Amino acid sequence: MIPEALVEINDLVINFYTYRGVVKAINGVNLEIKKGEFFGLVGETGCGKSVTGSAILNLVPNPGRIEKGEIIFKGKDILSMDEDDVRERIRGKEITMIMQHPIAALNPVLKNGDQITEALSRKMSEGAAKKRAIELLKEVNIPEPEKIANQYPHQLSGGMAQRVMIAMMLATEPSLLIADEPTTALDVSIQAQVLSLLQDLIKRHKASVLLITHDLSIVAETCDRVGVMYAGDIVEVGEVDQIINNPRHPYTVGLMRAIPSDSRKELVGIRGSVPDLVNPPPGCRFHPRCDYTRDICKERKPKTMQMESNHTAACFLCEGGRSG
Amino acid sequence: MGEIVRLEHIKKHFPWKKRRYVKAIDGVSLLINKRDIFALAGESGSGKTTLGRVMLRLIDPTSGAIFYEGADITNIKTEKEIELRRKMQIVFQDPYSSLHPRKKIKAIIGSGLKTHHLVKSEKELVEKVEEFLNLVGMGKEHLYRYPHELSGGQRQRVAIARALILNPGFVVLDEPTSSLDVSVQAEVLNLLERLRENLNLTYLFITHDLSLARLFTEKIAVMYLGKMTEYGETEDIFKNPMHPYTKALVSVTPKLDPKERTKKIILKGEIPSPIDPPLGCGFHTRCIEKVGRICERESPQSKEMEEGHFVACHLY
Repeated sequence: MIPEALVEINDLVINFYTYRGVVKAINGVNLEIKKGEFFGLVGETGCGKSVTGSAILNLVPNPGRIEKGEIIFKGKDILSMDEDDVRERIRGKEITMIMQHPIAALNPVLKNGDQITEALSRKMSEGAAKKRAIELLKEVNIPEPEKIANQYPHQLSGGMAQRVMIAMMLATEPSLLIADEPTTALDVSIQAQVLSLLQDLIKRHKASVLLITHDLSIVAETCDRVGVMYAGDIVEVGEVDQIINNPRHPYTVGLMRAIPSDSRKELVGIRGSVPDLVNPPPGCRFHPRCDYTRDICKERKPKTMQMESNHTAACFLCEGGRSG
Repeated sequence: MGEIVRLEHIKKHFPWKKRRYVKAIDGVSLLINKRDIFALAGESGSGKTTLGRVMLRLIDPTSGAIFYEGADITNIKTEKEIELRRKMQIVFQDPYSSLHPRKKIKAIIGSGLKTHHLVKSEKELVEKVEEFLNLVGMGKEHLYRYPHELSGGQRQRVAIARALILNPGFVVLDEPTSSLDVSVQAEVLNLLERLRENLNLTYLFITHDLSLARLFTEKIAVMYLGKMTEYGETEDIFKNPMHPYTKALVSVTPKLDPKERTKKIILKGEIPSPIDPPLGCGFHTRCIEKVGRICERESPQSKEMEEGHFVACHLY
């Protein structure tokens, strides 16, 4: 059985209007997140992975503007929905988000317990909400939940704050959790705790996760499917094994060769640097750094090609596959 | 090949309220040989950065002794100290805050040359700076630019050029690539490796990323709560980690290749505060292989388990 799509992003275009000119941050992104899956979105700084994440909540920060596209969530387009409706039903309810810096994301003048009950108070009595908050804190493996609920965010370590954040986001029983670099600010031993906790909870609550990260190794260990982004384009999407064992896009290949591994004796960087998206390169945006550039790459944007089942790549090298 | 830096029983306790102390480093001895790439690995709060700075005497230790090429430098002052500053350089973690925002690249790289009277004229200075810009893979068109005009990778190259232009023997690299993207990180590391070959350098590579340490370094010391838990040849430690902390750390480092993954040892809890660190072994609060009461009472001594492989744990 093929699980059905929970979120479908169709031809999303986002520009940022800055004093330097128009930054073409998202250049026609298509993406599908299925029910119950752990989807990883990987890319380097400035590739547009976080903007894509916030677009799902219709929260693109100023001076960004969604120019085109639709985001279908449970059959409805979030971008054309009434703003009140999004706030009432979607944002923080059906779709929630955890951030990179948990201590900055928590309200500094609210006690940890109250941050969680805030979301629950509409649904239940104050007493019941308090009880539920303690349960949630217990569920994210916080020792002495009663004590922590009575403390303020600044008294927490990074790992603890991220757990409180996760508890808060699970309180409304969301069907999609967007995790934007949730472990980047944490130590590896804490990162392992948080990721395994996240995996357990998602299974138990039957939610989907969009994990946004710059670290392909983390995705390889935790996700079911991966999307690789470069300069506002999704260049490759596939199941984790397909991407790791058989990467097809030259950028994905380059990214993997730049990651240290026990079996590799040498790191290979990708020459050049990420383009300025005020004046993105014409055609394929990766062509100035690619080793396989042909004339056509400089003229036209490559179409997304189906390589094998569930594996697509946007590169002229992959032509010969079916257009997908 | 002869030692370059040696530390003996270094302690650094920062004063904290009411006669309490943050025990950032609590008795570390180590030896770095010439032309080594030596990794200092550990999580935040383990004291690795403080130890790197103590080695350069950017921070003075509370007790213990530092030797550079056999000479005690713990208390040297004035001219000798200035000469020492030339020989020992550092590349900081964040190239966005380590370069003066209002100075041009030429001034940033060249200021050390002036301080140490290594050039006689402005022309010589420009030539020298240009030479080192080329060495780190940048051109003379960058000479008169400001740091904000450069990308993160280019800034880190400028920081490297600034450190190397004084012809040092020993360079501390304090997480030199942790603020860079992976594709840029690879190029900067390859550059550092090449420069070591060409310029006969010794590196202390401070990192929290064990997979980088494995790839880039020859010896490694793993720190936890101000103490050294395990020390030896990098390959030995990764093939046969012996301290329970190292074992856990190696197992949870994310790996791209499924074949390299082992069963994850997920540690409970977090690194304790260095203000009142636990008695005995600092790791006993999270250790899954605790031997018994001895771990809570006595601090384990470092023992040589195989040739050149030291472990501080009561298991052995």
